Amino acid sequence: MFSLLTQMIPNSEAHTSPATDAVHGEVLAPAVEHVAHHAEEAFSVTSLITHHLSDAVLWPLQIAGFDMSITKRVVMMWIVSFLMLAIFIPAARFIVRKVYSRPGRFSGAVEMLVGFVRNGIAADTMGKDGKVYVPYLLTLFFFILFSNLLGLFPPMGELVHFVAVQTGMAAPMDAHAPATEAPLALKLWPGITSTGDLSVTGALAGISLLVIFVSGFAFQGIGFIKNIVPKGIPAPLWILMWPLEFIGIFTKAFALAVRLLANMTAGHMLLLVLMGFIFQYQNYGVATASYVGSVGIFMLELLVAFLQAYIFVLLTALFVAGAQHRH
Amino acid sequence: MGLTMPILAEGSINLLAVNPGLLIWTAITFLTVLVVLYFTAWKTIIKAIDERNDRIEADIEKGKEVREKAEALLREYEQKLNTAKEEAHHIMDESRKDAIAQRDKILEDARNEAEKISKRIEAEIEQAKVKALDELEHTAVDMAAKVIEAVFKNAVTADNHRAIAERELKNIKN
Repeated sequence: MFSLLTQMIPNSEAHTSPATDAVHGEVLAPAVEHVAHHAEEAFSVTSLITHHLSDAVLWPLQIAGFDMSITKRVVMMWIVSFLMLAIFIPAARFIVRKVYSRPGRFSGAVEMLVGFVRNGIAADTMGKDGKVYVPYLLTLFFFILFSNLLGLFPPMGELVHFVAVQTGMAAPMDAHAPATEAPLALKLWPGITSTGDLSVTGALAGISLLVIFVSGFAFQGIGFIKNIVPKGIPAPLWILMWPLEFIGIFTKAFALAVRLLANMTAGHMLLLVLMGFIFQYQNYGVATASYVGSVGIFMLELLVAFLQAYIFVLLTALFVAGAQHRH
Repeated sequence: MGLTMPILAEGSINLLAVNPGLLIWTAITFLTVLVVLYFTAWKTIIKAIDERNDRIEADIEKGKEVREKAEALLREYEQKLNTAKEEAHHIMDESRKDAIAQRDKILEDARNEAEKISKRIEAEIEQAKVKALDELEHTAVDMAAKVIEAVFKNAVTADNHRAIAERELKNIKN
């Protein structure tokens, strides 16, 4: 959503003007002129949304004939991973070094979040058995949270590229060129919500499913598969219920994946539409309303980013707890 | 989602489309982060927090224990103090009683002694009186004898015996 202006000018001719690569509103006026000039290629909210919510291959990669291309979401996931390592490894050192003194702001915040996942999620759902799952739940929570939040963060690559173009250090990009030919800065921080794709949320939910099955078998043995039907069900009903309960396990995991995906996509779509109105209508009244509305939605999205990470992890923990004991 | 996806995508998006490559990348990335952070961060953080919690718990437990001990000590001291106070009172009472008894005894003794002394003095006086009377008797007898002797030594006449007696009496008196 931070590169609205670049998309507004679908014409390569427009790129001769420095204003065309503008990322933010300060160069609105010249851009608007361009749009007016190229009225035949009208601004399309649909293409704006499509562009921002769609993944794109940045570096094609085939491994044994299998498409393992590095896409925008893959790069963002790596940035998330890097941030997690950059935050939690030093935090662990801080905490260990000063474990008996008053925690500082940074280690205190990390400790609070770790305590939140540990006590508020693992211990509350699984009790003492939850201890083993804490590292997994922590990683899952922060992986989703950071992915969600980075989706709200401006694509740094685009900002860097904009500055580079302004200072004449880089050539303006061709908006119609394939993403694989995008400038390196854009490829390094493409700015997309990793969790806004079913492949990503599905993979995470799949791992959750695996954990559910593994702990089910670890705690109940092979009986886990039989015990998914609640106790005290008469035999004829049991036959009817077992398939439902069995499919239910997968449904729950699927719901995990879709819930996260839908929440992340819907919020971004709303933001894009609100901001798209500005370019669609080019009217100060609409622009003001859109601005106020999108700031509000952005705040809400920050909450949703946290909430969805929490819900995903909490439900995973609940399903794992459910698999540990017969109910 | 093909290789030729342009920067400015046209058309629609399919939210339920799954890109197997992305799915695998997600799993690889997530599991790598999980493993790395498990060994470099989570394990240490959890261990440190656990140790601290244990220590705080132990400290609280110890604090409780120390407090209980202190309270018990306080009770014990209070009891001891009370006992000591009672004992002191008792000792004071006892001493007072002893002192009174002592005083009474001293007074009694003094009285007895005084009585004894006065009795002895009385006895001595009596004795002296008896002795004096005795002596007086002896003296009187001697005087009488001397008078009689003197009387018989001189010729006693009716005229002079009166003068003789008076003279002898005068001698005795002197």
